[in-house]
Amino acid sequence: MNSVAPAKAPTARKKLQTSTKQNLPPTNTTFDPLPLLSLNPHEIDDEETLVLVSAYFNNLLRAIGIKPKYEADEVHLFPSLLTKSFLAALEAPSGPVSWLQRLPPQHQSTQIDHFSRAITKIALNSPSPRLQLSLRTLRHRLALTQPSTNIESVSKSTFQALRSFYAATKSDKDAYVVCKDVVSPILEKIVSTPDGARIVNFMGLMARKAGLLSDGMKWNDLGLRKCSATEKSCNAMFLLRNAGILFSLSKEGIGALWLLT
Amino acid sequence: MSEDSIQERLKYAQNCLKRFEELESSTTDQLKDEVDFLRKAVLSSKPEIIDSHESLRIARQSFPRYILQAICCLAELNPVCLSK
Repeated sequence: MNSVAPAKAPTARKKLQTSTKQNLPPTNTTFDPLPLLSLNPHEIDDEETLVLVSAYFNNLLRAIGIKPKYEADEVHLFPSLLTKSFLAALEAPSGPVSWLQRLPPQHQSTQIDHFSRAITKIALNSPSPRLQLSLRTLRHRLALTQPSTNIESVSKSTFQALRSFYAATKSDKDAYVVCKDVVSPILEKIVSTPDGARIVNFMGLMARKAGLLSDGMKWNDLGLRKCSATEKSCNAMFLLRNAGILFSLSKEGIGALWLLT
Repeated sequence: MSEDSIQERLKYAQNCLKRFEELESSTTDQLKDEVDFLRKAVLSSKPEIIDSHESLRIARQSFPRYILQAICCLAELNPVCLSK
């Protein structure tokens, strides 16, 4: 007697797992940060969630910063592009900087401190002077939002960073453009300090060296506005520099100044 | 930039060159560079710019004298010490 095994029905029911965990729908193994980034800190009451998201950013940044292989493989291939992408990601509307700035005051200070440590580590590991400068000034920009920050030490550090970057950059124009971009957001807060005045002077000189004379004149004018009337030599320097620029400008340059004033 | 604005800047610069003896010797290094930059800029200024701005034309005639005066002042503030 031949017994024929019954054919399996195509709609045979799957055997139900006994474990609750195994009955859950399959999850995507790739971690998607977007749900975290879309959270608004003001809408979150849970302190633990805030700390968790901030820790996530810091871990992500540390992971990038402490991997020399990543830098060796990627940075040397497209150094400028990678630096720009990284900085753009940091400053993106839903990126970590924006997140930190929207945190409630009671959490902001601690999280800014953790974030600053993470980006300091990246800056120390990075061979890119642009990235080093941008991260240092970003750290200062965040620090300046805190009332306990010593503005004079921020100005001093910024001035050192600008000079180091200038020394490491071949093109005067490139150096000036980058320095202007990074210093502009914090300029108002540091300009009244002694090193802030040195930064204005330095930027004016750099603009002139880069051939951007009308920009140079704007820095000199700012220096004159902020410089005390008692500092004769400081005022003299800006006045003489402006006069020199007036004689050096082209017809179009004078026209551009007309538009600016 | 308006003619008045150019004139005002040049007037301030001229006053500054005239009063160089009032400056401290410790701060003259940068000023020496600026006086030198101004000297070169005055000497190499483009005729079409000078012709189109009267205040620049007038300053180009008077500035060399004041620049020379400032250079003498700087030399007095920073005397060269000859050693054996």
